[in-house]
Amino acid sequence: MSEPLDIDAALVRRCLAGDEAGYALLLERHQGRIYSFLLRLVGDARDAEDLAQTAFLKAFRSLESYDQSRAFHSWLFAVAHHAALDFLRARRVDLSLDHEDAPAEPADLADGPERAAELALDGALVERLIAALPPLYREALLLRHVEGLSVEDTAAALGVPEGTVKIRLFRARELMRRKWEAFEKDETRGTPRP
Amino acid sequence: MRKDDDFNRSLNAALASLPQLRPSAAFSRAVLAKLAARPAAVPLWPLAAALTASSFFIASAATRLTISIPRVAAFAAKLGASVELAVRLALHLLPAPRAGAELSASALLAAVLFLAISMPQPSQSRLIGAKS
Repeated sequence: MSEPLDIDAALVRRCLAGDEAGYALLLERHQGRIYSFLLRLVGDARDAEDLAQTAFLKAFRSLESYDQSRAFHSWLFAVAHHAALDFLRARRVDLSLDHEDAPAEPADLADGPERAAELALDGALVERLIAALPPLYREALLLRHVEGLSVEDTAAALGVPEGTVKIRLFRARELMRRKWEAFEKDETRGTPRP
Repeated sequence: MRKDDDFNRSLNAALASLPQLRPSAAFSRAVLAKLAARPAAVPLWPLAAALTASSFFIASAATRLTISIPRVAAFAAKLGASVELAVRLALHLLPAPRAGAELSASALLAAVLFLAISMPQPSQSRLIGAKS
């Protein structure tokens, strides 16, 4: 087990033993990641903070049910994921994914390899591309590529098989690439990015 | 295909370099305050007393046991000890005692008592209204 995971395990043991300071330390260690994930998922700072608060309280109050063989942050992301999905369902956000199990369409290669040299994805543009994804693709992408979870941990956090995570990641990239190309075309025509 | 690879590489780099965002300064304090303000454990003894008393009378009626004062007193003494043990166990086993958990412990105890009282005891019981 790596050092950060050891620290988390020790802090969880402190909390379970009744040490209130353990909760503050766990919170300090993980609030940034959980809040970032939720903010990029729901798109509003206030909602994200409320959801992060809900997730931490739920996690801390059910700490005795946490399986310590799992990484703590992975379990915490699972709690945050459930809180976020409940929130999105309450807001009647469409969480359906059409043809998730169907094979992906081949990539559009019409522009040829020379166009690749022009690729420049800055942070602001990537944030927009992420925000344009369907929520279920967005959260898979965020956990795997922004928060750096393994595919296995991402699947555990989202409660889906690893194959589903891989499909969602692939489709998320496809959608982002197409959206980016649309942005680029708009820009060359002089239309501002959305 | 090379274009896809380049896009993916570029995307990976951009995703990995996205900044970690921070909640407001009051966030930690709010979470910890709400955590500390969790509902206090509901006193167990009135609940346990109500549950066990009702179980006792239901069981007595169901099995038609003869109720005598000395037996009830002896039973109540044992019952008190059992309830106290159940409370201590619940508080020891649960790091954050909650009414739900204590209710479950009491209900379990009541169920055990119900079963114990309901067991056939031919030498000590008789049917109400039966001729001796």
